[in-house]
Amino acid sequence: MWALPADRQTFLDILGRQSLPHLKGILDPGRSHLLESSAELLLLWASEPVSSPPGLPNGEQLPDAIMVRPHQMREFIAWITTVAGGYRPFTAFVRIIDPECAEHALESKAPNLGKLEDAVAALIIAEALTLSGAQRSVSGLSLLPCESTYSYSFARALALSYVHGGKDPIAAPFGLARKLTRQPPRRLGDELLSTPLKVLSGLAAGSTVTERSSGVTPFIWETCRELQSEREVKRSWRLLTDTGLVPQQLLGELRGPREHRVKAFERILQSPSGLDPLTASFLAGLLADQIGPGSFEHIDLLLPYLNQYPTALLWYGLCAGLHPDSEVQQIGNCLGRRLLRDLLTADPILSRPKYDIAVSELEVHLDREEPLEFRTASQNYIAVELLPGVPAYMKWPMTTEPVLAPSKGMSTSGRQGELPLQSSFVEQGGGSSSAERQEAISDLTRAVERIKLILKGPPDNSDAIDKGVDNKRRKKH
Amino acid sequence: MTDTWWVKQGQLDSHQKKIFALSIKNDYLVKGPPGSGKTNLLLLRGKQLIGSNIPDIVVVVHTRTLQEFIRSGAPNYGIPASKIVTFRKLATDLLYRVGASVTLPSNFDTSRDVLVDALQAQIAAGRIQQEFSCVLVDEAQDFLPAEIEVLRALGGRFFGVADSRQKIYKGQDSIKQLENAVKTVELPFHYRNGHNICIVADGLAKFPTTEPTLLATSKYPEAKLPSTVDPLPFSTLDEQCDELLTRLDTQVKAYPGEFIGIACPRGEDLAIVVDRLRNSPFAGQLVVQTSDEGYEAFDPQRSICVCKLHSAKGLEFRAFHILAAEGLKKFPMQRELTFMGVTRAKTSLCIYHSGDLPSYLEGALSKLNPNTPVIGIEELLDADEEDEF
Repeated sequence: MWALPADRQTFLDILGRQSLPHLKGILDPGRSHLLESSAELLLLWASEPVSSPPGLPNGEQLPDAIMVRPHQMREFIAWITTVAGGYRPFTAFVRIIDPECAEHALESKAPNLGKLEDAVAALIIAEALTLSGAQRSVSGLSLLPCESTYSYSFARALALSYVHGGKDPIAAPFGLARKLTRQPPRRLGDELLSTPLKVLSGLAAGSTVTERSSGVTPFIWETCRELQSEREVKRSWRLLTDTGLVPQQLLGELRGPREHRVKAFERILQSPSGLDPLTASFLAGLLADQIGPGSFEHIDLLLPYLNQYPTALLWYGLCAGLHPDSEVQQIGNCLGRRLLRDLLTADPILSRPKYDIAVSELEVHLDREEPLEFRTASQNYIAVELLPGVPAYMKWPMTTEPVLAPSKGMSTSGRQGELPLQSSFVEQGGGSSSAERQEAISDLTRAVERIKLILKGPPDNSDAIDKGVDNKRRKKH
Repeated sequence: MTDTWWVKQGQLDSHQKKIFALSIKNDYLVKGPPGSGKTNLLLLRGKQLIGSNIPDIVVVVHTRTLQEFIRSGAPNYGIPASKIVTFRKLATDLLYRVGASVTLPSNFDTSRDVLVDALQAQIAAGRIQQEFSCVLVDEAQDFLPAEIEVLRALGGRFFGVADSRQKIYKGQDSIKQLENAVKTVELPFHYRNGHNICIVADGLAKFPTTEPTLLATSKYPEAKLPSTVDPLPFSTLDEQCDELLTRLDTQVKAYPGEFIGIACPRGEDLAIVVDRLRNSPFAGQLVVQTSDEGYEAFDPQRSICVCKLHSAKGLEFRAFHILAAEGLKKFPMQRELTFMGVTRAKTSLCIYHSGDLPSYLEGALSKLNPNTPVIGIEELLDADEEDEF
């Protein structure tokens, strides 16, 4: 990695391909001490930018990423989208990151889901199926609806090591992106999705997430761990039957011929169990999995019960994917395998972005009376980068329905507390210091004065615009 | 997920891989028990030949239902469906082409003789010569020696797969003749039949004592997918159908995407069963294969196949139902027919009957409970009543 502490003028020079003198100050930081630089910006390159040989025009020396302090992020993005109109959206070309992400870039690791690959793929497919309405079949499911799920974005964050301590790093940016792009209400709300994702991240973290802190019942935890380590439900079953709400012999039925398992499944789901809704939904998914453990081929059995147990399909996917010999990757003509290919594709922070726009810039573009127009790769979808390398695919263009401005508490990354960029932004003073504001006002005043001078004074050169102005003035006189 | 057709290297065991490695320039006969992968290897051989720029091949089968079944899997191997034909179709087309069409008698056995005689005459006259680079024959044990002779004349190379234990048609056994003429390779293991189904099949087969049993050579994942065999006596065929419909309701849920088979030994019984099924919730899922109603292509969306037991030859089903099984007693080679029928089931086999089953089948089914205690006098006779004293 190569870094250059810089101010905005330096960056504008590089943008204008006048980089040679400035690039002399470039450093290989080796470790992260450079991230503590007091400079306004830290320009970052994956490999050393080389100046063009003498006599040749300078090539593009744009950095791969620009590190900006969280409190300056929104204002900087607003500035860069104004001065760099030839790079719109700017974050389609250069990542703008905070110091935390910059540290992440220093420790860059290959995407990895460990033993959870199948569970992740199954959970994504299960969410896509749950959201897909009446025509629910894996064979009719294409890649994009799967990659548009919350689970997909979460899984990508998990693979890129953004998930720590049971916290969900995409919750805030995903919600913000949905709000900005005016997505319709989600059938599976955050509260329904959060528990399976907690289990997933808990399993990924090993034993560091405890039941108490996660709010997930011991039965669900233990069952998932047993499925993963021992291929079948054993000791954990007692945690359920000890409640007296589920008969002990049910497990025996689930070890018999498949027809018997189907009958047991239907009998249990058709009779009220007295279990809490979360455990009941989990049990529905678990029982479906036990009909053909790891096969993920009994989706149809759960469909009649989705109103009663809205997350049953998610739990089914998770349980099916936790089996060491799960067949999830092969279902739907290798849909699971394709998802994993994309989830595990390397996308270092210090590389050109691969998506349409970062959520932080999306906020600047759309959170205004006249949203700025910009190009997307697809006419129907927008790929929003929530965190470096973590996309969310959403329907696009947005509808004409009015959308509420993001609430004050909603941040773009969960780490930064940005405020809307309009009058309230300055009034509340949350994003920039008074000195910076004063400097910006002075810049604007100087620019206005210069324009007035040009319009009033005699032409000092022969360029077309001034000639035109002069002709007009002569006619007027 | 159906495992009927396999095309990946990891799905082949070492014996199967050896067969795939056999030279394409020689003739071979591959023998193996039901479910040993013979038909898959035959199709892989066809794929290999086509891929090696030897496209003029033909896959010959004995029954129309088997033709349709193999055609349903042929796309997995890149073999055009038109290259999979019955012997009868192949023979009549060839005779028509040389202007020697024959009128076939209605009797099945006689018609086979007429057809093969006509072909041999045209071959002897030089009007029909080698037509294909290779002729691939499935269920070769069911072909007459003369038919095999004709097929070998039609192809530059011959590749056949067979199992003598599954020969269900009268006539001389062609396998010994083939074994003397071409190199024979054996497949020792099978993957289709669950252990309980193997036990019944072993009870039916007339093996030489040195032959390993199906149970001993089974690679079926019994722990993952426990198998069942249910003999189901009822008073009438209608009651059998009631039970069938109840079981189908569970099975289509338990085995999504898998074929379920329904068969009767006798055509008159089958007609009643088909009528009940067509008036049931499963009407839209049926593929009915009978000579009376015609044959249709197998379709993954219609997973319930209904046919005569003879027509089930070469097919396999996750769950197989034999109704009116007492009708088995009406057929020659019935023990072989029953063996063939039982071994169509992978996981679940139901045998419904309203009359007595053949004794050999009763005996085979009894093997499912080998440790049943000999009952004593208390169970045999009613207790003496006090008032007799």
